[in-house]
Amino acid sequence: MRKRSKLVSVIDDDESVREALPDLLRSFGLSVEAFPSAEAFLESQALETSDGLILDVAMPGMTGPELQRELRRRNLRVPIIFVTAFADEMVRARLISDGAVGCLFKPFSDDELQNALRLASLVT
Amino acid sequence: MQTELGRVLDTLPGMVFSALPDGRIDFVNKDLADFSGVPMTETNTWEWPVHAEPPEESVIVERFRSKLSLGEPFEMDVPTLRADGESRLLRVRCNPMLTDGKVQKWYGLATECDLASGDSRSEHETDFQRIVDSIPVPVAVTTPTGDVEALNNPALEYFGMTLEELKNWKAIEVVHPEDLQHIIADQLEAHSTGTFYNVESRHLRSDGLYRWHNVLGLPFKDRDGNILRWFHLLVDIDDRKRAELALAAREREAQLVLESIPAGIGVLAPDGEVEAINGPLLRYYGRTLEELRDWGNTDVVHPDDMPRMITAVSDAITSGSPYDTEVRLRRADGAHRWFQITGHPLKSEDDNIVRWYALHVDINDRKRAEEALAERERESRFIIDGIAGMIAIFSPDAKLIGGNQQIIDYFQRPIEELDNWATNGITHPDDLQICIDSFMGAIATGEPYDYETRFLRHDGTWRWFQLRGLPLRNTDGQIVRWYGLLTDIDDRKRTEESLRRSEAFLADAQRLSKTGSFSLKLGTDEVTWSAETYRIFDVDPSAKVTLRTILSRLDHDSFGRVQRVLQRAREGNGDFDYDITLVMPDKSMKHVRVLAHSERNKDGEQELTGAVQDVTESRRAEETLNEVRSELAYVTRVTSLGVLTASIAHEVNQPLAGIVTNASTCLRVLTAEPPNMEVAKDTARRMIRDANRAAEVIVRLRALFSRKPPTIEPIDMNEIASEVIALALSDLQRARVSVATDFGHSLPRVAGARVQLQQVIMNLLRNAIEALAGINDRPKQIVIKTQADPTGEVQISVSDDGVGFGSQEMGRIFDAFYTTKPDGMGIGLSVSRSIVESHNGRLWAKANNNHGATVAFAIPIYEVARESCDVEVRDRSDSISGTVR
Repeated sequence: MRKRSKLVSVIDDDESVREALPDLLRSFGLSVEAFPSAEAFLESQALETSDGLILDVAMPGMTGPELQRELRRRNLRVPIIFVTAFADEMVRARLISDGAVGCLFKPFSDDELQNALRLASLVT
Repeated sequence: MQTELGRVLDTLPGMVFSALPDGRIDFVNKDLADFSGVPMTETNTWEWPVHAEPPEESVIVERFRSKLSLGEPFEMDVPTLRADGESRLLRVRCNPMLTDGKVQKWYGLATECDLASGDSRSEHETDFQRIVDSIPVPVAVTTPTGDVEALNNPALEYFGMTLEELKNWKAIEVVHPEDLQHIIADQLEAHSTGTFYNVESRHLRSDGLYRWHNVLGLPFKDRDGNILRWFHLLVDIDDRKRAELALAAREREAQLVLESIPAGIGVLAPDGEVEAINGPLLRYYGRTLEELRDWGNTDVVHPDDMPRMITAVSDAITSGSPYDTEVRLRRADGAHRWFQITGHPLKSEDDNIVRWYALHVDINDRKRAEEALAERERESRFIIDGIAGMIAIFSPDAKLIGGNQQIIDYFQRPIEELDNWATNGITHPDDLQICIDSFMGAIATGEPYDYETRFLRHDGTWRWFQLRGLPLRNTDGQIVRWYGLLTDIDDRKRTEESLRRSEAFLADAQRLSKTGSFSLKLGTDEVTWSAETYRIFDVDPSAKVTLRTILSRLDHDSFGRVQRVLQRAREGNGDFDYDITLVMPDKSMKHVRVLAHSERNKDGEQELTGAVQDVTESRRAEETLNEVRSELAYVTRVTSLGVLTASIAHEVNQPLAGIVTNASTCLRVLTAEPPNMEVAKDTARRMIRDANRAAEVIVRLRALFSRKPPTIEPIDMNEIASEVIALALSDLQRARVSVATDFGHSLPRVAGARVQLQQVIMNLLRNAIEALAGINDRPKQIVIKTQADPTGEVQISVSDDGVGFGSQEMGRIFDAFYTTKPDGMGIGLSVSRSIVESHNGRLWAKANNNHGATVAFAIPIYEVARESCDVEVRDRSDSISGTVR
């Protein structure tokens, strides 16, 4: 039986990321749903079905880290890969210590993304 | 004396008595008392026992009295009741004792008319000797013709001579030569009339002194009335006589005094009757004593004064106390003169008034002088009341004793109260010490005083007065008065004060602004400098300044420049604005800006007047400030760069992330079998779009790094604020801060350098974001508001409800390097302020009511600002020389 492809949700307020990243992820064989805000994601089916999240750090409204805390609060353990336009190692270290699988600084290469997806066991 | 004489008379073989001028018998000798059986009583009055029927008795008494009143010796028979009750007719012979023609006393001798005269002579003679010798006073017995026949022992002892020697008494001066004729005459008189005599004369005592005696000569008669002998009794009355004479002398002297003193004396009886008036007063009146007795009905006293005079005298007579009045008395020539009349009572030992003495002193001159003085004082009063100042008159011991109407009007207090000027509050407390020192100092030294003080007017206002005082001295040089003139100088004082204040202001202003003033008369090269100009040129203020002084301080270029200015100023009117460099004595340099104007002054002389400003320090400070400003700007940029870099990274990384992701996707779909061309095309299109987006970000950020000089242009504050908000969006998002705008509609445009003003707004916005960083209990919100001010400015404010700043910090927040942020550098606001101020704008901050702070600035609108805006650095090089505008 063919294994169902894993679903990755992309949450970013930047439209170009929401457009570009799903195509790349699909090229890795993943299913993708994109959301412009954390709130939109929380209201979707993807909340229950996502196998991983690619989450922007700074967003209007609920931020990426806040969503991370919210999911933990709901006991929804899903691997999270943060992406951010602010290249700040301190931020990355804190996010990873808080349980994120990875934190990619924009712009990031497909290799960086693939490594992070592997760590999240989303690709082999 | 009386006793002595009585004793002598008692011893006389005959009945003797003495009587007073009024007929009262005050003495009878022993013989008469024995004969009548009526003794002498203690009261010294003796009633003659006339033996007659009452009508007859009164006739006899009356006849006796009438004979006495004639003052001549007389003889009369008086029926007398003898001691044994028998009636005897006594022949009474009386002689008066005269003093100055007035009867002092009568001496009488009584003999029995019907006495038998048959006694033997020898018997009598023996008796004579015996009787005479027993008399204790000198007694001489003479023959009826006056020859001395015998002397008793007291007589011989008194005279110290023998009987033989004394028989010749008329020749040997035993009687005082002055009295001799008198006594002889009296004796002869007595001899011829057969009555006794009584005379007072001086007799030479054995020691060579004359003593007064009362010589009583009594005839001794036989029964037929023939005189057998004369007895002469010498009763020593020397003491009494000398006392009388001394008294008379004194009286004469007193009389002389009364007559000779140059004052009028009136003597009044206790009832006021005029008894006597001395010569001077009689001569003054030119009237007799008789005329003056009735003075009250004459015109000797001036009619106006007469009632007063009569009242004074009659009151004094009634009360017995002295009187003193001043009246005009009419002189013989009809002129009236003032007299002071003082009446004093002369009192006897038993305090009864004996008489009044009234002293009339001519006080006409004094009175005239008084009147003249009063007139002068009236005139003086008129004058001082007419003086347009206050006059105070002080005694030598500083007591206020008078003042003119003005001083009373000013204070509206009586002079007595004004005397307490040091304590009653009319002198200003701040001036009191100088008043006391100056005034009392003058009083103590006698030097004139001159000082200024404030006095309280009756309406409660203080006014300045100049007080000048001079001492008035008498001919001995002693101060009798102080005259003080109080001149109201309040208006002048206030003018002075304001002048002084404005001068002080000017001097302060000159000193603070390092600006001195000068004038130069171009015709005479006469120079006048203000104090600050002296300071700028470093010239001793006491030194005389000349054009040479000025030129000697100038460096070479300035020397030529000033010479050219002077040349033009001499030629005509003009304004000059030029810089000079001074070389000070210590070789240091000063940069001085000169603004001057030449024109003809009011005296018609061409004059250059102006101001010199020492700009050395401000020039230096400006340079330093510019350096600091550049440094600050640099630091700002550097610090901003960190943040900006992050902003740029964010702005650019977003499209770059899109580009990289699309490129990766593109490669992956192209290398896949089969290649997905549709997705590749999509990714390529997205790459182009994202690359353009990145380029736009770069264009937008480029202005911040532009090196172009800022240009002033009309700026829409709302527009630039919107751009800044857009630029800061990423910051705002990152800090999770929302921005609300409250933009005014149709705002006028302001004059500004676009990027600089945006920098300021960005700075304020960033500060607000940072102030909200620690806030978690409330929404983080910033309000940006714009509005037009009625002052011709547009205001923009940035309010946050963050941590704010303490009120004590409010004054410091614009200082460079002051910051409330732990990692801030504190230059943002300071730089912002310097930018705003270079736009002639204002930057301020205030704490909000609840939380946080509002920082705002206002920039003049373009139309208003156009003329005065000096954002462009003024290009004023030294090469600009004085120019005629």
